[in-house]
Amino acid sequence: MHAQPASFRKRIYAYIIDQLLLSFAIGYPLSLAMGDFFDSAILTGTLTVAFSIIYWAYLDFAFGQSLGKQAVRIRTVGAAGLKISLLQAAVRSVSKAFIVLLFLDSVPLILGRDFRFSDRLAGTKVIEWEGR
Amino acid sequence: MENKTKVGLLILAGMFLASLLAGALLKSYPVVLPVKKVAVIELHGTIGDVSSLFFASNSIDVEQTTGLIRSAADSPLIGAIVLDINSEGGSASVTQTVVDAVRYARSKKPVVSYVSDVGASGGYWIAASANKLVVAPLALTGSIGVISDFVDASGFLAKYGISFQTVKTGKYKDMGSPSRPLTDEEKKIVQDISDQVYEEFVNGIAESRSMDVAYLKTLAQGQVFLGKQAVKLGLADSTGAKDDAINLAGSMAGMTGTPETVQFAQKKSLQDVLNQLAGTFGYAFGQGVARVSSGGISVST
Repeated sequence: MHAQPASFRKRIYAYIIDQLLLSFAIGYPLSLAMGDFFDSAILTGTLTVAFSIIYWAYLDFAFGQSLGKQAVRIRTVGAAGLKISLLQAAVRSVSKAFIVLLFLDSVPLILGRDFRFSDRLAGTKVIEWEGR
Repeated sequence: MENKTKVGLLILAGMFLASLLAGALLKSYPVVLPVKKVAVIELHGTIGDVSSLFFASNSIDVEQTTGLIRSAADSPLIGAIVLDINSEGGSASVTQTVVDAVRYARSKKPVVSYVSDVGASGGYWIAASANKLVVAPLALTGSIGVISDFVDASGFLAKYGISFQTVKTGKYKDMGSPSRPLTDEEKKIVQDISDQVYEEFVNGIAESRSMDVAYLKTLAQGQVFLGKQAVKLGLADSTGAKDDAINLAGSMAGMTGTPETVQFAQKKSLQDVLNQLAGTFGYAFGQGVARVSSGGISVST
């Protein structure tokens, strides 16, 4: 059976859900702990990038789905439709942590294709997924 | 809940705790942020407990402000503190609480006050508690003195046939009631209290600025001075702009170049915003109502 590529809309929704969760999980506790000093681009930037990549890479590797993808029922798979490796997951997750990079990476999606550049680089694709 | 969802949430929970820990550690041990900054703390408005100021248009929340000052004093990320003051004074007791916080801060690191527009009475007391005081040339400062005022509405009430029925357990319990004027004995009590507050006020400034008390008392008769006059009289150290105060604080802390600043500001609640909208009329009206209805004593600087 040929898997249906995930729609651009669903991929955006998944990304927004994940970003909201990450903001709550990283930004909120940092602001609680740092208080009035929560203005350090170095600190917040480093932690946000590192934790975001770990989150997306691990969940894509372990389950093919971040929480956002689970919510909208899409899944990352290898080119042959199989589970992806941790390296593949990491490669396709890096750009998500940098908004400008993500925009450039997503140009094919914006132009109506069904992949990001990093999907091609990692040999992955995102598909519709109704299963568990 | 599916296993993969549980794992995802567990990872997020782990990140939450890790971020909390990392933030707390880096705040205490700033290995990633070796460059110290100058904290700029705003003290704008009337000095008083916000919760007791009905219709307050703009007031300094003592709890938040002293918290910010002490937090900046204790932080290893902060090299010096600038107090950006624009206040005509307020409650003597609350002012002293802020002064204590400033003194604590200057025992830890350089503190420079900057008066942009008005730093009078209690506002001046706080400003003078810093290591150095920079004032705008045309800012109003000084007004060192204590005032206690009472409303005597007995004539007004009598005119409209209104009488107060007072039942009390102590001779002075209704002192300050708007239904009658103060007796000479009560005036003396209030004068004694005002004198004591005045002594604290003057001695506090003299100690902070290493001034002779007798000389200071000649300037402490309630008069207001322009910034440039205040410098000539020794009530301030120099005239300048806010950036001058920041640069001075930075150089006192051994920072080179233009210091980086971090703004510490009171958090505004919705009520604060609404109170501000009430404006000057609401404030004046509210103060009058509060005085008439409370009949209490308030000593202001």
